[in-house]
Amino acid sequence: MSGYLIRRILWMIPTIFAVLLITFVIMHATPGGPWDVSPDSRTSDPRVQAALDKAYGLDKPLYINPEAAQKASAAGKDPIAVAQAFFDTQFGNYLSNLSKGDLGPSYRFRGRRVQDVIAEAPVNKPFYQSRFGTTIFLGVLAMLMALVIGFPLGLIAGLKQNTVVDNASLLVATIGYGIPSFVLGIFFIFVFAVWLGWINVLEFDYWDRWQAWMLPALTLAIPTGAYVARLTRSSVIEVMRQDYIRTARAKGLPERLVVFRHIIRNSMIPVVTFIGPALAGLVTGSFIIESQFSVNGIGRLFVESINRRDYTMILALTIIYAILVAVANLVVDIVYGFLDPRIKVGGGRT
Amino acid sequence: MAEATRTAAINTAIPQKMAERKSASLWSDAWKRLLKNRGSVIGMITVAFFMFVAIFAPFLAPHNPQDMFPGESYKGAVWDTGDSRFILGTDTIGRDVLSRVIFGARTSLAVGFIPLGVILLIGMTVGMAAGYFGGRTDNVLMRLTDIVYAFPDILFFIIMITALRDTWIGQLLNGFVLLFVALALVTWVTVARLMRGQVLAVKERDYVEAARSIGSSNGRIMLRHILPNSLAPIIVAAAFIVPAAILAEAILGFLGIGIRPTTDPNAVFPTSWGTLLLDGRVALQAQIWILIPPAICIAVIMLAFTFIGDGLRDALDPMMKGRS
Repeated sequence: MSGYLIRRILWMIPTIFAVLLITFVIMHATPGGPWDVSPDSRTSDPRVQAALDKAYGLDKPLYINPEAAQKASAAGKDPIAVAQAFFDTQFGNYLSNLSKGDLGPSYRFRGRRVQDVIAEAPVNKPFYQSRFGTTIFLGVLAMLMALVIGFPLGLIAGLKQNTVVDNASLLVATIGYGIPSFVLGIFFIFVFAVWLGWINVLEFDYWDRWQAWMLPALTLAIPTGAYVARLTRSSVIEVMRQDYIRTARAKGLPERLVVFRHIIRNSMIPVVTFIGPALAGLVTGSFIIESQFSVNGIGRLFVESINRRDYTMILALTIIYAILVAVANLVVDIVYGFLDPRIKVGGGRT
Repeated sequence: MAEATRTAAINTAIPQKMAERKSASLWSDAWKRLLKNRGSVIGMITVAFFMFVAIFAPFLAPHNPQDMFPGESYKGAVWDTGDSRFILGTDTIGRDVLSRVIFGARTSLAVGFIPLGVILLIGMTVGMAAGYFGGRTDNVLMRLTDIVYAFPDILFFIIMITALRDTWIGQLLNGFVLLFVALALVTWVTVARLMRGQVLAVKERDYVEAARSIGSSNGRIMLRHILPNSLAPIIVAAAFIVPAAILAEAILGFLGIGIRPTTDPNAVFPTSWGTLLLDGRVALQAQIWILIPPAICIAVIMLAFTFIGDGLRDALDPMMKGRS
């Protein structure tokens, strides 16, 4: 088990490296650069651009720098210095800074490091009110809502299998699961902002009003909650067919105890293992909801950075998302092993 | 005598019985089960309806979707204005919203169905090779899937399309080609992995063993025995790939990086639902009926595919019925 885990964790490194490399290659295949003059902004002097490129190291080659290496070896430097010169490139420098925990300067938030933009709270605010904290909070809130909506719905449907109640909740769950959350967001904005005029989808600080969180979190939660309901329902149906349930009933255990002690506990296993990837999906998938509802999290930052060609920001956020997904999948594997001892994690070849 | 009539009766009865029950393949059985599923029948009718609308858009739309009506911009829907020329009103530059929604169906369905063929072909071929021969192909495929799964799909689409939008690839067919390539790059891996799993299970079956023992070639075993027996989950997956592609296009359009807008009055794909959503969001306060109809269309078509996919899964694997 531990050998398997170590292998899994070690395998995350090349995976994330590959994600980083792919993102880097794609972003730098673009014809433009971060200082491009877009039609709607002021014109800039080519000399200013050249100076900016130099300051941010964008005048260096992308991946390898044989010229610098040749110069270094001609100057009689030692092999390590030559190798350093060979990798004195945009990608090489990015990796070396990354290993020191520095995600580089943001090309658009002038004078700030990427990690500060992502993880630093606004002035005089507690640390969790950073963009990263905002996104995580929204994701966790949505996950809780999804469980609170989905689990009871699925449980009732499963216990009353093939009745009107079951069919109705299955229909509701399928509809909730089928409609994408950003379309739900549009409907909610229409109903609550335009029609009823209850909310104002403009810039305001979510941390000042707890009610403001409800709408984006609910929008994000509904498809996941509907999926939880379907998962719970099938799990409950599966568990109710098991011998131990029949045994429990046969020995005269009150129905309440059968349901609470045996059915609910056992049918929670697939739901619990779903929480990991679901949370990762909610956190990584919230960018469009964040943009819609003006939530100041990393998802919205990602969308804005794409439009502004903030390379270092895009790279950093992609790595963060990739790590979140990888960790979520790892956690599922581990939790599965704990919850259901019949499953041997890493035992045997699959 | 009595014995003879009875035998005769049986002899005549048996062929009748045989004729009554035609040989039923897995596929015709599955088709019958699918038709009994109310949800998936409604879903199929809905998709057929959208296809009809998409194909006959020029005849159904009241106006050319690119025609601008000067002085008529931001007109509300007919129930607000009473102007029956523009049932859902007009947009920023006075184009008829209903016509644009009707033509938008073309883009969504094209994005949903056209890349599917390529995705299935590549995914199934690689998955088959990896599952059947194992070894290096298999290892490379599995590592590749690990990497692709580490990317949230939509982020990959966004990165790829923003980066390549202004290059020559991004310009091809108003950006359709780039969108198809991005979709295919991410999705074929899922199909390949699914196919690999199926092939691994099927190739151990007795009938494959039997085919091999009578000297069938690898190609024949793969095409005649393994492929048909691995198809069911691929078909179900395909029913979920189509709406995922439609959704991706809508999201990208909403973010302003969908297919390129065109002003050509004869364009086959003048706009998309995603682009309409963006137009509608910008004009949220002025004309809500730019935003709501494409949103409803996307919701309905996504629901239709969800019901079809659920029905297909139940139909193709009766043992799995009732599970999610």
